[in-house]
Amino acid sequence: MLNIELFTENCGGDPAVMLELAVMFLDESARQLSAIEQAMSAGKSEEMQFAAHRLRGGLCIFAANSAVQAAETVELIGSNKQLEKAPEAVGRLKNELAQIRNDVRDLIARETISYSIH
Amino acid sequence: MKYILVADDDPMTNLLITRELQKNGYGVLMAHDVVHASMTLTRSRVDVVIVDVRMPGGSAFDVIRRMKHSTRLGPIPIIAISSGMNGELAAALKRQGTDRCMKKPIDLNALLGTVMELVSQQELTIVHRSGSPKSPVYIDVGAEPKMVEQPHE
Repeated sequence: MLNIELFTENCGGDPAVMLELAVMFLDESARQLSAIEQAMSAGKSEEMQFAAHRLRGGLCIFAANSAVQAAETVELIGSNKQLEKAPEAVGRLKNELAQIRNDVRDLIARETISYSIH
Repeated sequence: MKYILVADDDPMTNLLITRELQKNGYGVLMAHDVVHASMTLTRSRVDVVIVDVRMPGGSAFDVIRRMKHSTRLGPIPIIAISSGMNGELAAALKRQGTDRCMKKPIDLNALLGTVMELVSQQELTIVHRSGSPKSPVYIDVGAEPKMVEQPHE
């Protein structure tokens, strides 16, 4: 779940930056998830590790702790080359990511309305 | 204007740091991998480097090593950032010549304060010989730069 207070703090309290990051996150998280799935299918543990690492970086900014942990697990599986454990961990990451992406979409809608009012 | 190189493959961290630095009057150069970071350092004037430990094509260690082997780039202050920053990693980075280490997500106030501190430390190491005879001269005396008054002529 998105921690809006910490996310605001991580963005220096700037609503314009928050909005820009939120829009970027929807695009970037989809890209990294796709990279993780492709790497998993191709048996490329290092590529999976790298994509999970990048995804984790973005999730940290949103202070989405359970999603961060899920990405970290995938990263570790890639690092340890234990691809047999990947499907379950990636499945969990997808669920966490779906939740956070919904939260981010709501945030964008709220911030966009707030912006158009001001 | 002072120029900061932000080298990080994560576009979100890049954006966050860039906006904060620009708001505070710094020029920002961005690089998304080790090769691009090295090219930017070669071609542009940079006053402080902020570098992610893990990037495509290598790591912060590669960038730092190249900088420290160069007379021109060696003195430029370096801030290393990583979501996995811990005592061991920070110690290894400092042995290579990193000035500061920070954990992601970045505390923007702390980062800005660190950049300002490193920029002013760097300025103190430059001996100012222009200006009036009474203008102060800054001399680098090692870890703690001291200010001394320029003698009257």
